Amino acid sequence: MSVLPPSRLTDLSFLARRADTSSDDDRDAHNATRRVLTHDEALALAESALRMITAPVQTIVINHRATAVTKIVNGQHLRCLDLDELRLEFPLRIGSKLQVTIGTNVRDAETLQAVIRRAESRKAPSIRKEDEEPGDADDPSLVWSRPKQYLPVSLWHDSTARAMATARGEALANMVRQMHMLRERQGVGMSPFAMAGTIAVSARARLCHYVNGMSAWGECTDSEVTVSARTLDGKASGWSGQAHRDWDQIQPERVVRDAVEMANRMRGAVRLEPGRYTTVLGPAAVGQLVRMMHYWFAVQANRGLTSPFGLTNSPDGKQLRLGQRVFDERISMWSDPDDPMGGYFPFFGDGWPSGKGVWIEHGVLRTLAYDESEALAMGRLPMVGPMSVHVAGGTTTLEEMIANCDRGVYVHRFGNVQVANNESGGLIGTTRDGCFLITDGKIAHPITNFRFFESPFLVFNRILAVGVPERVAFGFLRPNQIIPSVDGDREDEWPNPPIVVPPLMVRDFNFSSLSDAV
Amino acid sequence: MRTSSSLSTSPVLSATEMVRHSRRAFLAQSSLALASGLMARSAVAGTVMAISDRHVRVPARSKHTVASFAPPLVDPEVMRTFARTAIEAATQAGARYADIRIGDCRRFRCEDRFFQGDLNYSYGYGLRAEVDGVTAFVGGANPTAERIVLAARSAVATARGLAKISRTSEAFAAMPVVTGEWNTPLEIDPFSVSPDDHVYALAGFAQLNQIFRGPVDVRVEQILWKAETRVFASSDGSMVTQRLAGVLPSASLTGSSQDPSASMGQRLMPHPLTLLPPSSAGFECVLGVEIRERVERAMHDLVPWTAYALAQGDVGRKELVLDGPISASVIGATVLPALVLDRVLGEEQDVTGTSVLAPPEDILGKPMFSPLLNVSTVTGGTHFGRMQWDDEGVVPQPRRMIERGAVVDYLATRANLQTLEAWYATRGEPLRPPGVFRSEDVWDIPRAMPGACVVESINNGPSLAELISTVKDGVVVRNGFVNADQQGAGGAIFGPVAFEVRNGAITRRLLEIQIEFSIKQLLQGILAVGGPRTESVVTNHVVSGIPVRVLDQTITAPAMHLRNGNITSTALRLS
Repeated sequence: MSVLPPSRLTDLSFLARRADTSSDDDRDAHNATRRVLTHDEALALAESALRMITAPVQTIVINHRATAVTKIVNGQHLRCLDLDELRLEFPLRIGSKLQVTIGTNVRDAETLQAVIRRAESRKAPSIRKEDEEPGDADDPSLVWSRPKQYLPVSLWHDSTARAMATARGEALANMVRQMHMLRERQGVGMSPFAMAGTIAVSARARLCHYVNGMSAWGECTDSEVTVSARTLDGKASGWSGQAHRDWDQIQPERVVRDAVEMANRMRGAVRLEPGRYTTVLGPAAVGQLVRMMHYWFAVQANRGLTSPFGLTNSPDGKQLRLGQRVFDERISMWSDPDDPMGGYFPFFGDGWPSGKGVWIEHGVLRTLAYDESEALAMGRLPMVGPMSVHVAGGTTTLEEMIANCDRGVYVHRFGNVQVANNESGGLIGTTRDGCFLITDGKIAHPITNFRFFESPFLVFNRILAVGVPERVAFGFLRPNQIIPSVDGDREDEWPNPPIVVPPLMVRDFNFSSLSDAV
Repeated sequence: MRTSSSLSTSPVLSATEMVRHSRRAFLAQSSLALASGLMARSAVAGTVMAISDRHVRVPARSKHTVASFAPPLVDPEVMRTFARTAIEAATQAGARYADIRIGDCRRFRCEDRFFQGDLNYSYGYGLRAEVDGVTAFVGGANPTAERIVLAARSAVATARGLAKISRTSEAFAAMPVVTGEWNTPLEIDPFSVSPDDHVYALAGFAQLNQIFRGPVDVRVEQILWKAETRVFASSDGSMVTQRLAGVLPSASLTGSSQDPSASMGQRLMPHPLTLLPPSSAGFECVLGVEIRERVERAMHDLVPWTAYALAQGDVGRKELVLDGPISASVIGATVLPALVLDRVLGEEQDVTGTSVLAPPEDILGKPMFSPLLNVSTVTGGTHFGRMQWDDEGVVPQPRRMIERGAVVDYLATRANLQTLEAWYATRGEPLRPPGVFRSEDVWDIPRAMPGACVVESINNGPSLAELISTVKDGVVVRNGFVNADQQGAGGAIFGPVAFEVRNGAITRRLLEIQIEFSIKQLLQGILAVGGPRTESVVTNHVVSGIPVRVLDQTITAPAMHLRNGNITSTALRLS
């Protein structure tokens, strides 16, 4: 049943207009700043496609993403990238009984029709009567498409949509000016800085539209500013970043200042013997660890072999640690689509509602994500794992953590973190852009970087203090797993799901060796 | 509506038969014979397909080709016209230099598991314009004459705006104007084959396990096929059209340790199947008896390695023997990214990182690693990523990057080549980039990274067994993953398939260790490099940028004997 007037179903000219936002036309102010489809436009596109398809089709999925990235290189010259990516997908049965999902990035009704006709002309012959199974009320495919209720969320900020164009004006000029000023201001005999920064702004829309059924719609904006400062002798570096769905909350000049300050403090780093140290982890460092835990919140990841949330030596490999204490009681972790700091679309990729989920409550494992078939059998909503994670905070400030540390290490950030061991949740990586020795409650001096091997599932059991949570910026992140795919390994692309974490003070963090990298 | 599993019936052509088919027989018998040697004629304007069959066997072979499931390809002349229009619009708007890539691309991925897959079609463009020393890049989908003019004007306007803020400028090195067309040589276009033929080809590999019945399994997890028409044009007057093709298999052998005391997870011993490497080839590379026999031989070769008892490894510094796959992975994760001139010059400082091989004036020509180390980019043949012109119109050349342990070249582009002017003059060579500027999709900013690299083996050099025989107290690593830091200065080999060596003989397989290293120390300590028989080819996924993009390449490397590696423990107990 169409929700739009018929005239909208054949006129897809708005698709072309959305792609041409760089033009100076006379559109209204809102349209001029919006680079992705509106809900109405996405519905019109979906229903146009559905009208063209004669085969029984259950769903249309539309993804539209616009990204504007500006790079400041060596604090001086600039490069930029503007991307516009639209995809439409729907399933169809073709060939020798093969289930096919067809997707297209076309933007005019004529070509869209051609795509559909071509695929349809080769669809599979009808399934023989004797091979059919009667539909039953519990058939997931039927339950799937029924209308659903979604949490109202607010992830869209016009300020960010506008910033896709305006961030290259005043904000960028101020950052470059400030970089230049800070570079000039270095003391006599001090190696000057090379500075680099990235301003990345994104708008995204997604529609999962089922025939006569559920229709999930989400739109969001996101922005991130990161800066690194590095002495020209290559011996010290600092980094800072901020991320927010609302560009107005980003303070680019503060990011520049913090990065330079961190780099200045890293001058004269000395080597410290690797080993286990009481460690104060800044929010960016904690975020790097928490981000990698996503995989283990799915039930399937904890079955069969020893796993972080599975019971060791469980006879059938199916016993989970649900209801048991798995972390320090100060640790709670949840995901909430309407989280002001860590909100996300109120549905998963296929349209299932994604409600608020508490994974860990005061250190006790409360729930895991069950896939479609298992969840429906249990009478619960399927989940694909946390879309974002919010770790509960405490009240201890970073300064208090350092003041309470007799001897330890402060880590500002990690780099190139990867899962090294699925069974223990062991992670591998290096410290980067800020690492210090703490003695007698004070930062003693900067130290050279470490390589680490550690499991967050152990770290969260060695908590000494918890700070105030914040959303962390990531900048460049190496995807944990790279599987060549037809659409270019896009699973881990920017922007990353929001991660909101506090700084932590933990004991016995395992720094396994020294790293030569700066 | 669900279908019954009783639909599983015998295929018309068994998997074994499919594999036994010679390439010539396939060509002769296939209804697609006409398509041999050609890139797909038909295809698409923006399509993804995911093919799945819940039953292991497909009931009947479809007569339709993979390409036939999507609309026709865009006429290259249309793309060339758009390219001309865009360049003209950019220069009229004030660009000092502009270039554009326009392409339509098909990717078909077939999995062995449940025979799922996808077919993707994309059509897009990426344009860069330089104004007053500032470069702006605009990428998008579905070019039209109007859209591409707007994109060109937009790029120029952005660059001009940024030039008011920028404090330096960059200029593109002049290169010869290039024109022409080129096709990747193929025997059988994989898109002119039925999807079911792809399924059978994969099933043929899986069936080797039933025939072999040993402690080693082969798994060709998936094969990704790519075919693309890519047009490049620049304001210099260059205009080239390439029909590029490539195949990216994910294939491995998995040995299963015969030690009964080991857990299921500990027993597994993955090893890359380097006989089926990513390449610029057609469907012919998975057909024929020969490939099957070679895979069987590789399975046999791995069997003796499954016989060793498993034990916890000791930590400390020990001699290392790295088999071909792992020495390739170490070089691919550390040295190659560190050779990218963008990183050396600090342009990736805020993103991927900088380089341990910087600054150039302190590095070029000076001994850095063992004189036994030579690393080159390669072109031609069926090497992965083969092309006639790179994404800025430069003809790729095989280049020695590391010669007798000294860095003698960097992975440069037209934008940063001038930095090396003095070095090239010293060597009496013309200033010219290696032609490795490329992107996975046309709408992405290209990056300097060769499609294929070789770490050179030693003619008549030792075999793996001979290398091991010289080790007194050490570890031989046959496979593993490599994690490198942000400068390529060092890293760790984690999850290694490693064995203890005492007095020239393997004694046991080691568990819960990893090897951490500084790349300079590690490669300065090369004691011996293996011969051509120890060479392996691995896929290296090069990750960079915001948004993150992955560029695949292959690295061929021989086994190596190294003075020492820092063995650390990974024993973590959760309870």
